[in-house]
Amino acid sequence: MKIKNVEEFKNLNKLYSKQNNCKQKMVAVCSGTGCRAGKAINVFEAFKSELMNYKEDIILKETGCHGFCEKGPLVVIRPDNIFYQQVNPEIVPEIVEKTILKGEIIDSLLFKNPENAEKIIEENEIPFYKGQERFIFGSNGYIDPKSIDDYIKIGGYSSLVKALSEMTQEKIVDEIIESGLRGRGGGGYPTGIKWKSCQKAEGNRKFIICNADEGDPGAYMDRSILEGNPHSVLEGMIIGAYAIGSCEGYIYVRAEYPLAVENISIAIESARKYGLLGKNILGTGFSFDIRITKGGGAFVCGESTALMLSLEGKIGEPRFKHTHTAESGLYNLPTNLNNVETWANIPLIINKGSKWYRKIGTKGSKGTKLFSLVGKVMNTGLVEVPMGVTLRKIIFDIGGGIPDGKKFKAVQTGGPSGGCIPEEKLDMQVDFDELTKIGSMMGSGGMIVMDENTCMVNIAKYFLSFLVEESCGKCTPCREGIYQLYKIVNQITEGKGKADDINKLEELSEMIKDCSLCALGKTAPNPVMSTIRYFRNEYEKHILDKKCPAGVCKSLIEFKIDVKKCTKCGLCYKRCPSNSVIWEKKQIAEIISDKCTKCGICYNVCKFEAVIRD
Amino acid sequence: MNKDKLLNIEINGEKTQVPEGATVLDAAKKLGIFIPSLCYHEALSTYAACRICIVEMHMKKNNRINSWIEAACVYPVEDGLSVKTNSPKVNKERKLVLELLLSKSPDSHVLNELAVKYGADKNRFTAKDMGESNCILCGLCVRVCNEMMKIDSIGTAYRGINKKVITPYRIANELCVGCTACAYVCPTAAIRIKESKNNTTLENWDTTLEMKKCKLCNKPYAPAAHIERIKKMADIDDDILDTCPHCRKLKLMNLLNI
Repeated sequence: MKIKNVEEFKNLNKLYSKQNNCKQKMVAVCSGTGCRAGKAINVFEAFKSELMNYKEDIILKETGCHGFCEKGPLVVIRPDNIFYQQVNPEIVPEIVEKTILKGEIIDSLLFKNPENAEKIIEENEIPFYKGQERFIFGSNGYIDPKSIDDYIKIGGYSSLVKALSEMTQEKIVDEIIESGLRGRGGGGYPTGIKWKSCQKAEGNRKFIICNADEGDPGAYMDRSILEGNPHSVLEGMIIGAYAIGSCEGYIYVRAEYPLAVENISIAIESARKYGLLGKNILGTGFSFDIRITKGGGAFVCGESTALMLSLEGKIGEPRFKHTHTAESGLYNLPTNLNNVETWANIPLIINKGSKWYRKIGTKGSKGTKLFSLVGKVMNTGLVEVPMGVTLRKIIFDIGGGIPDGKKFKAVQTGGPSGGCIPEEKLDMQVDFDELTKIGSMMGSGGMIVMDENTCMVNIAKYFLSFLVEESCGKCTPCREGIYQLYKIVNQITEGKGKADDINKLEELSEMIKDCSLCALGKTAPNPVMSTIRYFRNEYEKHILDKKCPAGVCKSLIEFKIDVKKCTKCGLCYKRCPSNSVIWEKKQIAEIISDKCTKCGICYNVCKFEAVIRD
Repeated sequence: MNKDKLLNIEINGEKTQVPEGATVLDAAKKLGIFIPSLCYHEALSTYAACRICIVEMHMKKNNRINSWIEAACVYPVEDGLSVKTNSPKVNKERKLVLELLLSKSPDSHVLNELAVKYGADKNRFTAKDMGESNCILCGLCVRVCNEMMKIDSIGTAYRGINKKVITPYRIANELCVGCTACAYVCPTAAIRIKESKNNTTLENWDTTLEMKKCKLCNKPYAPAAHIERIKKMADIDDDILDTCPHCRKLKLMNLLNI
């Protein structure tokens, strides 16, 4: 069905709103990648076959990620928004029979508030969702990402219609500038300003690119938007293309995101069918089409110039960019590149207006931001909050704090080149400028929470090892410098640290930050610099006392038996995988330190705290 | 870009004017101020990878002076730019860059000369390959092969610390004509060439090419494929290239009756 003009689209919208029945029963099975790993597809299939047995009109939807990945697979029964967690296929018949048909609640599937042990029925009442404002991500739980009609029904593509029929190109760009939207991919460059320079740039061929090369360990915001609501990204891109005057677009997406590739491909196909993409969009004479390019998984290809070279079929290496890519990008032509989340913000701004949008967020950072909250936190998942919310609120109110009663130690924001933020900074407002001020960065929104059992030197080593692999290797400071940083930090964790190592690390870091060619190198020393800044004593303990306070670095710890506490049970002996424990019945156990691989199993299994980690 | 437009720049306190589009390195050359460079070659595109040419820039913007470090070989001069090529910060960071480069190529003559100049310690760091390859990955060989010879016989492969210049799949590339331009531009003498009576061997690229014999004196003088390439590129049909440089000279002298 091709929608020939704006009038026809409006009629279709009217038709859909007439059909809209707010009492319609609907089962939304979260089928994002997280829930899929927990067999959400089997849950969906079980619902499908079970619902066939009943005549009642119930809509079943395979939706994108709902965000609360910790408790997946998730099922939400609408319109009452009954939230069931960790659903397995076996219990599906019971859900259909009791909850869907009779409205009874199945207690065992409800979310239990860990604070007061109260069971919560409604999705919106769960603390994880309650603290969020989900303008970008909220629709995921309502629509089937493979259905363009679902998207139109929730008001989708009305921003595009508004832009095409009521706004001039200048007006759209001004609206985006006014909104204060800043790029969500890492740099935080004002999106509208970028659009303006691309719009003004000379050239009769211009490109629009969506950067979906999300490569930070632990981050999956962009993936989940593409998987759960691909049309929002397309709509943003089409509006952007119209404003800038481009008719060719690319989505550069990681090949490791098969579901995202599938859903965005279907979305492009159906948008073409509806006449929302391709030649003469909605009869306005404006033409724009999008191609998908799958990236080979190089972290550096998230950098705009490297991404563009990769698109051209060349080696994905950043190049010096004094002239902005908005003026000279892909094939040296004006190119406007934005990240997935940035594009998804565009329809919202056009629809609700920049005045409305500006009200959300802080002085320098407007709107909401998606974070992937992972690590040592109760509620891992995707969180959307207004800019300016405190870290404490994200980690403790929404995230539910640290599991197993452990203490919070640090949170790493901004991906591998971000910094580790200590407890005393938890009350700072999260936005682009504040994070940079304290030595970290917004990045694309990764947030890795660490508890007291995390060794900060080891964390720095982990991120450095990632960057050693992922540096493109073009410029000397990044290629050789990060490797030297890694070597020094590695020696520290092995107990071979020297007194001037911290100075050496700082000196190298400063140089890499100043002299590297691209932002990957310029930010690469952040994990080292921020951990030295906030956890210097931990480095000193490793170097001077040859001790790892968190008990992580194997070369610096030793396991011993506390003779007074040992109950002679022999559990450590039985569990030791390297036969390093000597024990006989009614005898106190003994650990042979030469043989011990320091795996810590004895320490973890001993119920009497008789194994000491020193 | 308007090449007639002149921009003011100050380097180490000396003032000059350069046309729009000129880089800081160009301006420094005009003033006779030395900035070390390794991956830069005036005949090739810029790469900005070795970072030895870093300088400190100062620019007044909105009543504030912004200072930053950037590579002189690529940075286009802006009107009013002030540059320091040997400030304490530049010297400190350039020394570190040099020490990292030395870890990759400890015996390089060029690098050791610079090390003396900037007080760099060549044993401070050890590279992953212990400096065996001698290659600092400046990319000159790849660019000369691609841009000048238009052959593209070699390229960089792998990422990060494992990056290397190789032929595709590390096997002899039949496109290579043995011009040895790669070895000629290499600043660290990392590309090993062996010439025997009948063959030229480019050891790094695992390539051996047969030598062409001079039509007149029968002495081998250049790889046959190289001669063919020059004929094609320069569109020379004449058999002048089928003779060795020595015979060519004699022939020319005869022609001119010298």
